[in-house]
Amino acid sequence: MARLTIDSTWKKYGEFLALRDINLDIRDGEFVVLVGPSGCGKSTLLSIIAGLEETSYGTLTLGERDVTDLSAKDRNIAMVFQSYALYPTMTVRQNITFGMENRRVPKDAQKKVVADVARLLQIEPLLDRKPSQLSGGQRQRVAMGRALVRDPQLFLFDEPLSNLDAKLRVEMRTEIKKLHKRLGQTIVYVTHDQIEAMTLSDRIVVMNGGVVQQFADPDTIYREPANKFVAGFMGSPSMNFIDMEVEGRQNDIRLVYRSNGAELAIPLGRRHEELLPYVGGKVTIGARPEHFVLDSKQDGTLVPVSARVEVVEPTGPDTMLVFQVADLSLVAVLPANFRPAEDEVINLLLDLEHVCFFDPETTVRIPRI
Amino acid sequence: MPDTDTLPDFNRKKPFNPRRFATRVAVYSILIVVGLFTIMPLAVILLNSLRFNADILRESFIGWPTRITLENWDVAWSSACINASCTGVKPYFIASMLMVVPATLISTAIGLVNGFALTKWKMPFASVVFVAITIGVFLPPQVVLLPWAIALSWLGLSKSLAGLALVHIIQGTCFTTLFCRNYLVNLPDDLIKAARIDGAGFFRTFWKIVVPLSPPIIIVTIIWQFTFIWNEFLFAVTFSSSDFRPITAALMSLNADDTGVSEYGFGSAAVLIAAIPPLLIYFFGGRYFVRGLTQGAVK
Ligand SMILES: Nc1ncnc2c1ncn2[C@@H]1O[C@H](COP(=O)(O)OP(=O)(O)O)[C@@H](O)[C@H]1O
Ligand SMILES: [Mg+2]
Repeated sequence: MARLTIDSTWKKYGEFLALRDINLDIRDGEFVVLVGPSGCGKSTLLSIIAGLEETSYGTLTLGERDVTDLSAKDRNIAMVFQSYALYPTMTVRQNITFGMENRRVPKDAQKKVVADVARLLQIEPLLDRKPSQLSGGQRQRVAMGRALVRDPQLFLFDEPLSNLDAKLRVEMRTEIKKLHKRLGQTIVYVTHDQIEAMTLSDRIVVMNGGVVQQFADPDTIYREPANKFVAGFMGSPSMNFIDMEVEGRQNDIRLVYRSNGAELAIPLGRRHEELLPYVGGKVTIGARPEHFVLDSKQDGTLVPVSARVEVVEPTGPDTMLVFQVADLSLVAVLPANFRPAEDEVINLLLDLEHVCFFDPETTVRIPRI
Repeated sequence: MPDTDTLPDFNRKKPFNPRRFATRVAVYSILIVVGLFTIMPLAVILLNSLRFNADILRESFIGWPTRITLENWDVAWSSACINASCTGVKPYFIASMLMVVPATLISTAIGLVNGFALTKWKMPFASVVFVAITIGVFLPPQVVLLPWAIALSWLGLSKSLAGLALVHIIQGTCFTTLFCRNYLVNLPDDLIKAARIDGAGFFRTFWKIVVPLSPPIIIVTIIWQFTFIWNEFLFAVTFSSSDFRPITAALMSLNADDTGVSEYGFGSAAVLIAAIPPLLIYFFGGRYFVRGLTQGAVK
């Protein structure tokens, strides 16, 4: 167990900057998830932490040690790969003990550790099988077992669940979380799945284009995204964005969207103050699908929106609705029993209390007042 | 619920299609003719090795044996004359074996290490080295003949078994490296990364992870190298002498006896003896050869 500090770290591949000025301070025992679209540099960052790649600039500190120039085997780190990377010609037991053999751990100690880990992960009956004789979920467990026997200072996971089917993925997700609760290890976990990120993490690092967009706890990431990218990436279905004119004067500001005669107007009510500096200009409003509601029982500032139903998609627990306002196509998530007909015009209420506003130039979220 | 207890008729016959049938007949006829042409030389030699030389000369070179004898094989193996020493091909066969087996194994081993280093280890200038090695594959052997002659005399290995083996090891390494590189490039990088995190260095990763995954390509390379070196003629003639002569070089002198009579009978037997090792290798390894060439490292 240890704290990991990544300080102004850059990575260049030729002229391509894969990572730009990464600064992360990960606490002892914390479960941190790196999330971002494919190619944003998550695996690169993980490889750098593991010592499989060198930094082009910057320093890494693990526990009390500066590990920047240490090789992978000297860092006391364990890693679980997306492909599991089990050695195909070795049995499960040999897979698990290979690292200990290399570190010349005495046979007796190896036996004991293998037994402990096998019991913990319930892979005892599999120890003498080859990886090719295991199911996806079992391979996943073995890969975790191989990492656990090291008793490392830091665990790294690179999209460990993305090769499992949906049901198993949810089960393993829960197990990993339980395991973390029980062992209390520091974990850096990479995924492109924002639900995994939300459910597993103590804190989330959202990355894009090799740059950290935001490093915060899941609630903050979801409710107060640092910018439009984070807001759009986290949450499914995605947040609806509308670029709107800011009109009016103090205490009476409205957002207006006009197109071909159609108009959407949103009086800001209680939230007018934050947008005062933008009067006469534009802002991007970001409304999550659940920010549209049907009835006005909730408190908050509800703005009526007249919507023409385009597509109704029942998902089981909810109804997903694609609807048209002016010439915009937006998405709402509504209670399951709500099943309007297509092309029907309905009245939705937008809960202004929770929507976000972004500066259209910088895409940064305008802070609440 | 569908009814899955009564089975349908699985043995339905496809209706007869005359056009398809005609195409089949045509294709098979062509294949049979081509096949016969291919097998003909081998068949002629095999039959001649069982005929008396007098019969071959009297009747015809291509012909069915009227009388059968195994004497040719005996003569070819142990008493036929080559350059005035009448020992048969036996010593040359043994010399070839002693040269070919180590050359094959060593060049295969080097190729595998090279392939690993070129694909899975951060080797400086890996792509340049690989291009250089590939050029070696396409270089005509005549070009390197003279440089090798000079190099071998410097090393004091001129016209010796070790010298010829060395030539084949180094020439062959281009091929074995190419084969092994192309096979190992498909080995998942994650395996090597996992091994690094597990604390394994270059040779330990090679020995414990790469080699156990490589039997298909090892077999391919061994078959290729063995047949190539065994059958090779140019280097064998150039870098051999009466002290050491591989069987391909020896066969050339077999027919030249002072009587001027062509010895087709034991000549055929000698040729067949020389062809046995590669034939056996193909016979037992051919399946693996095809499989190894088409198969990736890890599915
Ligand atoms: N060895 C490499 N050489 C050159 N470019 C690389 C290398 N590894 C990764 N990249 C590039 O760096 C970027 C980030 O890659 P990666 O970290 O694998 O993304 P992610 O894991 O987030 O999908 C990608 O654009 C990728 O093409
Ligand atoms: Mg990745």
